[in-house]
Amino acid sequence: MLKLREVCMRFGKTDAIRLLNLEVGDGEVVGLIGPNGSGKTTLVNLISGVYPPTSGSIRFDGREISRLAAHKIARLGIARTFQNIRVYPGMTVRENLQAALTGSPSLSGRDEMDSALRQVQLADRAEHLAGELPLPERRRLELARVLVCHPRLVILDEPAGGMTPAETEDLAQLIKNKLAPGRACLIIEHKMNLITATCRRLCVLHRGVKLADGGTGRVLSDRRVIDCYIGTAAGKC
Amino acid sequence: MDAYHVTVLSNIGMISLIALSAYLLLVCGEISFGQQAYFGIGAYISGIATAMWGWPLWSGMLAGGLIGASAAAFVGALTLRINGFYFSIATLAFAEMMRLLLYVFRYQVEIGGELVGPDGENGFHGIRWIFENDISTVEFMWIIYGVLASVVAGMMFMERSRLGRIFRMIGQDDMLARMQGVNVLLYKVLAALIAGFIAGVGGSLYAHSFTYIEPQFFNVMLGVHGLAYGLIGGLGVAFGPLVGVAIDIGFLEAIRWIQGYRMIAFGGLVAVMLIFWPRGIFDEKRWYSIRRCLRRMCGAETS
Repeated sequence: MLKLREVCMRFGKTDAIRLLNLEVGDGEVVGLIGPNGSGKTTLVNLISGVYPPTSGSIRFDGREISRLAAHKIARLGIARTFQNIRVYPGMTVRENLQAALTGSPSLSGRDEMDSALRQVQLADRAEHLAGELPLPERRRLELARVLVCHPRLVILDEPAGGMTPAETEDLAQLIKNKLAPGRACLIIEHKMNLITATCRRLCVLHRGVKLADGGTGRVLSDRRVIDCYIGTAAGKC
Repeated sequence: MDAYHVTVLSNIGMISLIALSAYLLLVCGEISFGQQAYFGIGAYISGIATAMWGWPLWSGMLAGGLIGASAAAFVGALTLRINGFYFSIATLAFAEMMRLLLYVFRYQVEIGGELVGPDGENGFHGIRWIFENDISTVEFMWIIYGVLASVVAGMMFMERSRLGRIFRMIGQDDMLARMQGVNVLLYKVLAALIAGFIAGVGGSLYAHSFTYIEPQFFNVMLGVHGLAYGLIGGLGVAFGPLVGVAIDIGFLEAIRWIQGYRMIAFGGLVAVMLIFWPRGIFDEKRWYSIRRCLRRMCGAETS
């Protein structure tokens, strides 16, 4: 479904992504981990069209999207959340969902919005201003937004950021039971319990280069991954 | 109602249109210092149409609005790729360019033995449609308020529509709007076009109310006031700028006794308002509280 071939992204003299190859298949849930500054969010921005890659190809369903405008990429069925949560603060929670549907081909109605809000435990907040919600509820609003849009590829950028262990556990259940079925997911996360609970495949980025890619268990026990990211010997990489 | 009050009320009505024009762009997150250019274009075009070509007021007003809209869309398409401060400076530059062009714009024809039409720095005399059609200043004031009511109703209807929602999405987070499939540039140009039309219509009324216009009327202070009205009244709802106009003109008229210092007082008022209410009196939050209160009252009544 999503294929990246030799993608490079350079900001000035810095290579944020170097010759990256990555595939995400239909219905596959792939985790993406790596130290801060390894290029994870840059990669999400490239896929979602925030900026085009310096070189390389990004294909979605066989169609080249690397030079496509962000709004056109979104209309193809790619939805994302943000590391720094983005909601429309001056709109209510329900209006935020209606806004998400404005440019989406999805035909979700009021019932589906109510259902999405129930699934993320925001049903009683539907008429509250999004800007007044606490951080974890804003995160859940981002997820409800994804649910109503029925995207074909979901990219979650640190969805458990700022969440307690119990909230992270709930989020893992939500991703497994509601978000992931029937669609491809790419999840960027630092919390390994969320990654192990939701992703069967894991990709590790380090300094813009893919360090490992494969089954989650195998990648997490890879010596280089332990040294560079999970372990303590980051300086050796 | 005496002539003074009719003039003040007519001014409030006409200036409200430039305030609504600036408000629409503010809702989209853009600060334009150039709406006075479209106000001026509307004034000159409609004046030419009625005084020189013999068109009725409505046709002249429509022409003024449409030319204002076209100019705004053209400038918007060129400048809306740049955001924030750069866009504001670009709009200011365009407006000043237009004003300076009006200083050299001469197009006159002889009607009834006298030359009528724009005459550069000498302005444009003889826009006498309301006198030629026996319309009193009070009647023209009602025409102004009829047009204003239609524009406000249209904008309130738009705010409840998909288009209004898109404008607010762009204004609150244009990156998120883009990620949700909205062609931000296209809708910003559309907002500029509608705003240009409203300003053009306002300018048409202005020209016919005063019967004489000159380039200096459409200077940067008019644009600054238009912006300030939206920021004072609030960006949460379309009647916010009207509250801003009423407060400002009411305030300026009330302090006529400090002639010469009024603009200093006006600047102070804007600064104080922006400190305490950065998005105006009727900002999104307050308007949301009012809506919620009204909904509760209606709910209580029905139950």
